[in-house]
Amino acid sequence: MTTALFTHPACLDHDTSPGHPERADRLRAVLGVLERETFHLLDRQVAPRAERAQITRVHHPDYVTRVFDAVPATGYVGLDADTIISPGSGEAALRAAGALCAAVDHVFAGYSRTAFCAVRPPGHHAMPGGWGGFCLFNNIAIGAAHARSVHGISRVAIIDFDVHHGNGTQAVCEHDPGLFYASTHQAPLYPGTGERTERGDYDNIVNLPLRPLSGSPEFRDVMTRRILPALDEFRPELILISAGFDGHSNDPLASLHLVEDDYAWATRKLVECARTHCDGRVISTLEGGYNLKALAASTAAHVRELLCA
Amino acid sequence: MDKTDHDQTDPTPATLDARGLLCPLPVLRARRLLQSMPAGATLVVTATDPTAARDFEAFCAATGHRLTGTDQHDGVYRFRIVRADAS
Repeated sequence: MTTALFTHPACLDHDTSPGHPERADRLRAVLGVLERETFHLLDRQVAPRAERAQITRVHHPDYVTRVFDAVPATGYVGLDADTIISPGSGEAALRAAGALCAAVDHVFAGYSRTAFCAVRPPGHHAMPGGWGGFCLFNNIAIGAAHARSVHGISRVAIIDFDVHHGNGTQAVCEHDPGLFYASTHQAPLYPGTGERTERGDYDNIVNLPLRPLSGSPEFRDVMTRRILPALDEFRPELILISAGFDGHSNDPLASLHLVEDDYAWATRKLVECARTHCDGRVISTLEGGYNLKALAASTAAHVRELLCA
Repeated sequence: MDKTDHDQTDPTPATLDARGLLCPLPVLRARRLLQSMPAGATLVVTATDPTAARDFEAFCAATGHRLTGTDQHDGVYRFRIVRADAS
C-alpha cells in the first residue's frame, strides 16, 4: 500500500516578502525531490480547503475571522515580526489545514496507511487564539481534532521533531487526555517554551530540549529512552508527525547537527510504533526547514520511510 | 532460505539487476519490466535491500504475478516472478 501526498499550488502563493526564510521555494524544493523515481507510486492528492468548522475545532471563531480580515488585497501585512501575510495567504492557510483533514479521511478510509502533507504556511506555533512563528492555523492540531470527531478515535499522538518547540500544538494538547504531544527541539531558541517540566495535565506532554550543537546521538537517545516508551504507553490510534527539518546540520536558523539519516531513523521508529498500535496509520506534515538542499534531502529520506518502512 | 517451486522453467528468463537499489526502486523497476513482457514469461530479479523479500511478496499478491521462487545467498536475494495473464 502506498503513501498519499497531499498538496496544493495555492501553498506556493503564500508570499512572505523577499528575504523571508519561510518562502515558496521551500515547497518547490520539497515537491521537486518527490518527483524522483523513488516516489513515482505516491498517491498524489489535491488538498481541499478546510471548512471553517474544521478550523474552529481548534481555533477561536473570532481568531479565524481576524486572520481572514488581516489578509491584504495587495502588498504585505506583518502580523508580528516573523509572520508576514499577503493576498494568497488565506487560501494557502485553508489548503494547508484542509490537507491534514483530507489525509486523515484518506487514511481512515483505507486508501493508504501513511500520508505526507507538503504544505505551507506551517502550523505548530499557531495558538487557539493567536498566530506566531510563520504560522496561522495549527494544521496538525486541526487534523488531530478532525480524526477524533469524525473517525471515532479517542487517542491521537503528535510527534514534533522540528528544531523549534511547537508551543501552539502543546497549548492545544496539554489539557486534553486524548492528545499526546512529544517534541525534540533546540533550547534556547524561539519560542522559548518546551522545558522538560512542562508535562501537561495528564503527563501527556513530553518535551526534550536539546542543547545547541547536539546531533544524532543526543537526538536518538531521547527518542529511544523517552519519546518512544511514552508513545507506547499512550497507545495511539493515530500518529501525526510535525516534520520540520530545521534541525539539520546545514539549517541557517538553528544549531543542531541532525542529518538525513536521523530523520529516516525516527520515521522508521514511528512507523514501527504505529504498526504495533494503530494498523500503521501515520500522517506527517511539513513544518520548518530553511536550507533548500537539506530540506529536500531530509524530506526524501522521511517520505521514503513512510513509503517503505 | 530456498523455496523454489517446480514452476514451468523459462529457458531464457528476463533479468533485472536491482542490487544496490533501495525500496521501492527494485519493485518499481520490476513492475515496469513485467508490463512489457508476455503473460507467463519469467523475470528473475536480484536485489540487496533486505526489505525486498517482503516487498516482492506484497507486490505479487497485489498484482497477481506469481512469485515462484525466492532465495538468498551472501546477502543477495533472487526472486523468480512469472507474469500474470493480464494486468
